[in-house]
Amino acid sequence: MDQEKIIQYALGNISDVEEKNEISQYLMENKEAREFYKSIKNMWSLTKGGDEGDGLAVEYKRLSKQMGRPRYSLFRHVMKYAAVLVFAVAISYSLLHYLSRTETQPMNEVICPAGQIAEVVLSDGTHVWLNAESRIRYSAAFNGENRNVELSGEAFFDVVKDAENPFLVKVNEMQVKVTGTSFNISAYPENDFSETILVEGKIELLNQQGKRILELKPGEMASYDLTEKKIYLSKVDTRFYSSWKEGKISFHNERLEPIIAKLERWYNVKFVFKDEEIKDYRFTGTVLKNKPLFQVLEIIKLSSPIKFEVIQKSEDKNEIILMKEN
Amino acid sequence: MIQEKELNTELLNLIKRGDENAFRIVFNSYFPRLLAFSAEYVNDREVAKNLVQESFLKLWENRESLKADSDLKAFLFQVLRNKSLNYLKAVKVKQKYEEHLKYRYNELVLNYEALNQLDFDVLSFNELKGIIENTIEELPPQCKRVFELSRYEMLKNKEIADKLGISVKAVEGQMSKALKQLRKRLKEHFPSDLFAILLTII
Repeated sequence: MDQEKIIQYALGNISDVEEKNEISQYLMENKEAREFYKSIKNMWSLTKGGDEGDGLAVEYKRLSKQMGRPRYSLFRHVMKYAAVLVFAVAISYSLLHYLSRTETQPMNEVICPAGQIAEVVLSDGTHVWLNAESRIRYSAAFNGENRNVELSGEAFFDVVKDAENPFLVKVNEMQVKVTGTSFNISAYPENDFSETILVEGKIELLNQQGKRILELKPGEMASYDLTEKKIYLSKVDTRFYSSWKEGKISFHNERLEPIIAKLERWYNVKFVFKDEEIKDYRFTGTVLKNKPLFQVLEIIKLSSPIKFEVIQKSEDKNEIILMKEN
Repeated sequence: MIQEKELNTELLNLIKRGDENAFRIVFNSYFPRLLAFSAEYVNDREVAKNLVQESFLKLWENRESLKADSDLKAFLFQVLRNKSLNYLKAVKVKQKYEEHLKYRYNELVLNYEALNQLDFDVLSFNELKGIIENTIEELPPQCKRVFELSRYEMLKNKEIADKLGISVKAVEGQMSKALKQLRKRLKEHFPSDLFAILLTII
């Protein structure tokens, strides 16, 4: 039997059953041919390109279920105090704000500074997690009946159910109306879009006049493009959008630019892109907020040809220059 | 670019400390090649996927006891090799012998033997990979093109033939040429008895 045939067989290019039986039987009986087959098989298995299975994110998810939860005990501890601290600062700030306002309708404001996450419990029992550099405003008269808040930045809401008195979130040019549910909204003023992601329950998006635009189902995201005035609806993995409240940022095949924007808020630093093209590098992974920034940078550096330069500033935020490694 | 060796050491240290981010980088880097590797022997992609998962799990669970000079890639390939061997052995016992499908049984035996020879505890994984990569670089252009289409894009011979406007026969010829050249190079680099185990000369 010629070598060509054995090679094609080893590479899986022969599909005819009769032929497969014949070649395999020949290999079983002929020692030299058998050794030749084995060496081709081994070389091919080592040279062959990759197979991502069901996709790396899906495969990793499957694996992480078996990995057992990583140990964050120390982190949880620290986070709890950090949240309490921010809460205290936020309360005193809102009081100050409240006292200085001259409008007829007094407002409360909770501000979460860069580098922090704050958890706020409203008087109706609704939980709000504020991401870094975010704020919510609500009337001092907020109560079980008047459940209106205004958001700038990003927040995760876990709204107490009350079918009669809907909870309304005003966010740039829209309103989100809910009766009881959990969802995430991201609407940072520097972005020209806002994103609303529903985890469970039901929510409605209303325009400024209170007219219904659309209804979201769990696992759906509505992105509102402020410049085009258009809403895009898509299916998403909600975990990627609400993981920040557990002190993590997860991203899947995301461009570096938005990732860096998140890191800026979390670590309260300023990044400068020296090379435009690295903004488009894509990353998949999870960043834990309790990890020091340099460790996060190290991971980025290890997995891509990017290097960093840190400029310490005594007055202002530290500046980190990102550039391509040659 | 950072050298692969330094990268390995950095990642290894992070993983030993339980850093999941580093582990995920390793997962994303090696999962595809490990899956393709195992599937080549076990002939069942679903089974191969599970075996690769188990191999990564083993790395994670044993992270603290990894030696400081371990090569993560070689470690994973070796674990996967052993798991694939165990699988083939178990299936071989269960496989019913049917005359009209005897290739199924024969392949289990042949692939078990082939994989058994590929012992990364004995062979230097990196050296082996290095020689293969270099040899592919040296192949004549058309031969290299055919080989790479088959290898990276996993095209069938017919698809390659269509793409390059040549006959299927010519594609087969180029593939054979590439693999024979590889074999020749490997024999030059591993003249010792050690490599004779892997590549017996006809």
